[in-house]
Amino acid sequence: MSTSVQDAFKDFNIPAELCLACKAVRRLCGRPQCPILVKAEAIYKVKPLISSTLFSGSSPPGVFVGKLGYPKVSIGPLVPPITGSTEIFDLPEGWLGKSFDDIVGYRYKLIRGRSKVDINEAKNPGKLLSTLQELAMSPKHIDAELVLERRPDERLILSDESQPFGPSAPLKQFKPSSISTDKRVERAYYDKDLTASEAVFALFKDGVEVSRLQKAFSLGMFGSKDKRKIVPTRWSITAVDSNVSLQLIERIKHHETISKFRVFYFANLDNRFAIILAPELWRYEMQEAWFPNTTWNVNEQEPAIEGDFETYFGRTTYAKIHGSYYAARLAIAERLNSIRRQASALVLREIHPGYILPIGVWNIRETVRAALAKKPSQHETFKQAFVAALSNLTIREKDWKKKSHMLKEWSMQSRLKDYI
Amino acid sequence: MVFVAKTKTPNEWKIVAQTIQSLVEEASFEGTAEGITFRAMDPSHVALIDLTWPNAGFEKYDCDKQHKLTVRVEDFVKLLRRAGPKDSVTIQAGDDDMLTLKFQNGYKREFQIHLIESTYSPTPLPKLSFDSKMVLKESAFEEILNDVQTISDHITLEATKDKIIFTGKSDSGSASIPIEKGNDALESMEVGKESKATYSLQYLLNIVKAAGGATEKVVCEYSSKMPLKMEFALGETGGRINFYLAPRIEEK
Repeated sequence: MSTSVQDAFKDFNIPAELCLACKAVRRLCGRPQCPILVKAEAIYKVKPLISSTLFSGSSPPGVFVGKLGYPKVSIGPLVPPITGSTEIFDLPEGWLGKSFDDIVGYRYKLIRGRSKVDINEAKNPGKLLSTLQELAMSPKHIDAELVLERRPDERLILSDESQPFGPSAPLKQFKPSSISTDKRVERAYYDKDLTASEAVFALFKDGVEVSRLQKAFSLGMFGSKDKRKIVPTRWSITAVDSNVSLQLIERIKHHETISKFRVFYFANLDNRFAIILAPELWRYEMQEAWFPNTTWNVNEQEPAIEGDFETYFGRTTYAKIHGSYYAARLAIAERLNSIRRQASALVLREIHPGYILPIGVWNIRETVRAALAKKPSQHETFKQAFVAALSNLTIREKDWKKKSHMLKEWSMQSRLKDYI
Repeated sequence: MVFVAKTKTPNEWKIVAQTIQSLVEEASFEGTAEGITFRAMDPSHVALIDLTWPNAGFEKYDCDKQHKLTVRVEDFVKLLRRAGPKDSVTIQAGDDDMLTLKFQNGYKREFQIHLIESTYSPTPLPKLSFDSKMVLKESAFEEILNDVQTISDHITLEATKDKIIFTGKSDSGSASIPIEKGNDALESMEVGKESKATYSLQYLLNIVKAAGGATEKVVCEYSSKMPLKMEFALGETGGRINFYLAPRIEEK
């Protein structure tokens, strides 16, 4: 989804006559906040700042790899026309509790230069790629100069997987000031015997933020030299979530199971998450209910529920609900591993109309993390746990059960230990 | 310390390994002077496999004391896939935490894999008595399961004095397959008390497809709302794979 204000009607799939009658006042489309206004205001605020081809500011640091034209993709730095501590603009780990206005505001300020390269350039990086790789190694903002071929367009790229990306134009020149690198990331970069997945996991264990790993991964900074590749930002987000969680799950399988059912809850940006951890061996499922008038359920009258699950043995196909499945799996696996316990995990997510824009799976990762950091309610039986989980949700019991493999199992399948 | 077990062909090992692979990631075989046994429950504790493979089932069998041989099933299956249909298979273990597989038909091929430390705890068998017992033709049983799966993800077995009915039901419709006493598909049937229970098809199909290759018939035993026991013969010298499956229960 990519848009300017002019084609916002089309993007949000709202009939123009509804918008005309509403003008962001009467909430006729059912959303509590007008998505077109959120974007328009962000554009309006940033417009005077982007009417040029020359920018100097502090990169958070940020980079972007497009997927159009793959395997020849656009890469480039993100630089806002602002100097100072801009880290938060590209650090989703700090966005929990921020509003749509805040997040879209951060993203619109990040001007993106783009230049086409082949994904295999990571095996032997040219000047721009090397500079971007160095930029991605920095733990803090870097002052830089960005020269573009023309004035950036006023577009915002929205996707379920990645955070929004803002105005862009072909890159002429990018000159960062001297970069001090995070030595941990730098070591992994130069270690060409480590596989990409070993490098990512080692850095994750060392406390490097997932969003920074995703940036470095997208620029093909890890792995044996002949295997390095540039990876579009969208794919790299899920690749890192998936890879790190898989390695955590292998560890979890060696831990004792929890002793009771635990139910967690957290809401953010009109997304509600109820999580049930069961005292069983590892299994995982996520179900998402998109309410009418949310991005992926515009025309229906009823919430649309979709999800996917994996058994103890994992999965071999890509999850039906894409990146959100892996983002939540990472948050769960991370928590279980940190408390050195094993459990079956079910994530129930409700997306209500206040979730006016798709802003990326970081929202899922961070909200599930926040939910699991809270004290859970504990229950002896599945039935009690499910009642507790439902108390914060609006979808009815039978509708969840119709879709959820694990809910069906828990309520219908007996265990052999009951007969021993 | 010696453990050597040789079979004329890889068939039985392939069936054993594939059956186990449908339930667990790692397998701990117990080798004793009497033969090889294996028992494990799946991670959800819904199904259990209990394998008995007496020494008479091997062309050569030598075991001086109790051996616990734990392997990653995936690695084990991968190696066994390399064995041709006429290869003899010798499985051997010593003091070095390695398991050796030798395939021979003309020339010899030898593979070694690491034994791993077992993470599974001992698995007791469920205590059961059965009201109904059927001996079904394996191929017919597999067909029945496949038939019902087109409609439902679970199957109900209803045994009366003179027939057994397999049914499946879902939002999309229903399936019903009655088999009467005397039908070729049903070799024998004893019903002490009429029995009705429902089981997950996913588990049943996995196991019947894997273990069914070893035998032409399956012995099924169960009681109302109680676990199902299935027995598959392994070779002709008393080897068997027993499979237990917990029933699905009606929601209260």
